[in-house]
Amino acid sequence: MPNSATRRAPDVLTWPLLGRFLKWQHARTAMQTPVLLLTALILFDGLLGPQLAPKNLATVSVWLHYRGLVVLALLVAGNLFCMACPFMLPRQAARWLRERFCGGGRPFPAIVRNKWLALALVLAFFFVYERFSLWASPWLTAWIILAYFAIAFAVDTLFRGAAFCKYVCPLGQFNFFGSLISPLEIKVREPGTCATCRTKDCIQYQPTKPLWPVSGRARPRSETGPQQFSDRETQGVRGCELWLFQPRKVGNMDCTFCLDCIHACPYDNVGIIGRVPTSELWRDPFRSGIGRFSQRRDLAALVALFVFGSFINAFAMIRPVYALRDQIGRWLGGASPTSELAVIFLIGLIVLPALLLIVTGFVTRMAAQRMEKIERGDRDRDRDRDRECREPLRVVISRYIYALVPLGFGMWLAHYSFHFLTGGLTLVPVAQSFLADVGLLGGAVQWGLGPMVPGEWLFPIEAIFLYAGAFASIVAALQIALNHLGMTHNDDPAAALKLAAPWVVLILILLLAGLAILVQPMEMRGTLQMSGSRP
Amino acid sequence: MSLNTAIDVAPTLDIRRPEAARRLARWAAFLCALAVLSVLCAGCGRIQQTPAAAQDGYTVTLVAQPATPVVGDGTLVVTLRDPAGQPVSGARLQVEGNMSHAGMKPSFGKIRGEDAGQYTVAIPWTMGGDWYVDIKATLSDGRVIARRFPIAVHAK
Repeated sequence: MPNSATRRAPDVLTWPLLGRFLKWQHARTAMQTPVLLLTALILFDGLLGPQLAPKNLATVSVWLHYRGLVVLALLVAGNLFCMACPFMLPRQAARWLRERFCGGGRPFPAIVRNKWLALALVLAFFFVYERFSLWASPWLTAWIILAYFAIAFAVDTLFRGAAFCKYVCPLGQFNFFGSLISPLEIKVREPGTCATCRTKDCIQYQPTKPLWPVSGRARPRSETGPQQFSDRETQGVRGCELWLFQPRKVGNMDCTFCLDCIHACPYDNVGIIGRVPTSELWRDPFRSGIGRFSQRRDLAALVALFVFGSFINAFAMIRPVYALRDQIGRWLGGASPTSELAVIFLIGLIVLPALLLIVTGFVTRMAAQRMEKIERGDRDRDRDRDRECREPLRVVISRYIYALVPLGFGMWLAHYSFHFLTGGLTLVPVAQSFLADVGLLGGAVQWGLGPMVPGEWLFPIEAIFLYAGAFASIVAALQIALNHLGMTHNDDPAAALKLAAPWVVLILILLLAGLAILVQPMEMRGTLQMSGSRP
Repeated sequence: MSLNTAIDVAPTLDIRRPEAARRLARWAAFLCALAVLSVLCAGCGRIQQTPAAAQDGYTVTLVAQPATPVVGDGTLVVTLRDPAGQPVSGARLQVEGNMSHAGMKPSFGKIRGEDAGQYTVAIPWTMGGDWYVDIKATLSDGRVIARRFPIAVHAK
């Protein structure tokens, strides 16, 4: 039977123009192509253009616009940037090479079929970003993009499925993290339809289905049932390469919004459906292609990295970080900048998060144990001592850490929106300068353009994002606690509050830390020692 | 369906068809066109170099006042000397400050006065951080002397 909640929720695919466009088989390619062209321009300017970050398309568009727009898109819609990802276009060729020369490719090695590799890459990226001031180097920015293309191509040539997206891509992991709070989700419209489906096209390829159209035009889908295979064969559709089986898919984790499942479903039963933002964090069901959040240490670690990384990344922009680095340098007896930064990363991204999470999780587990004791009564206590809430601490942390996602995302949003709103319009003079240099534009370049909002609006906007994130995090902590209790207790808001309280305290501590960072004036230094490294 | 099961049900593709090859060729042509376009653009003069160090023999020095500039109105003193070490007067100076990172519009200096090859320039520092100050001096004989100076500006 149709799920009434799902039926009431808005479905973008039913919207007049946008829905029709997204259902078009080549919709993703149509979005990727302009982004690829833009990327080509960025590469050209980054490698050969002026090596002054504020005047180069590479640095302006990547570190200002891409980051600003990606968080705004995640906030108001979903994972739109994976949807239009230009790195995936060369995969068409990679897939052909794999089939032709690599015997169909190999499965991604089991040992890295998780998020640990991606986590290491994200951590390495954060470090390299700070150490080599990537934001200040068009040349390095361009090389990172080129490396991205090369690695995506190599991984998808060697391995089956969307191994790069699911297990490697650091940008994709950030988008997965951010899309946990998004208001849109790709999901099944009518679960009953999936129950009777035998072909499961949304997950599996058709063995004889070609990758590209072989002849003729695609026919419109039948409204009463699946298309005949002979018809669908002409459409070149494929199922989800990230192994998210639609009937059991929950939420946005690992979903690149590639639209493959929408195009593959012969019943037109997959939609882009609205939901309460952050609501997927509240429960811990089994998720296709992922499992349960609480059982995934790698995912929990990745979430912790993104949450605490948001604070460290912003902290690195403000003046106190230089005093801290100097102090660390003195402690280490005149250490190199790399060592100073490594110590800050070690403390800020590993030691401090681990301590905070262990203490918070421990208090939550103690509260759960106490509740169980009270519920059982003293007479059973001795007998059941060994059975008392023996849930491992890592499971408790892995369950509740998702409550921090909205706050972490709020911090990223505050940080990136600061840059975007401060300099969003600088793209105009930089583009004018580019066009003027290649002979396509005459007249003066409007270098006076820059801020999108008055300067005095910036902190209130950042604070609103952070407060909203903290509020959503507190709600999520309470919801997670309610659902946690639902396993062994009847719904009890007071008991849920007790379980969630340590996480609420942690959220408030992080909120204060975030505000303390945002209230500082920005001061990005550390690039001048590199000034001689590039022409 | 578990993850492993999902992986197992993904069979291989059969794309060994002439149309697939043609499609791939189209993609390759498209990518080659992009590369060619980039090369053509490169010939159009976008390539810019940082001002050369001192091949022209002139000496340009820059002193910030105060020595550690802070956000707000700042002053720069630019001294221009010819290869013989004599002060160069009457040059037309253009002073432009840019932050090292993207997202800030440039600050342009205003010449406040000149005394025996020493030019006083007012410039607004709009944000703390690393700046590059580009100085372009057009001499009376039309020659252009260009230099770039790094300056660290502190937040208030």
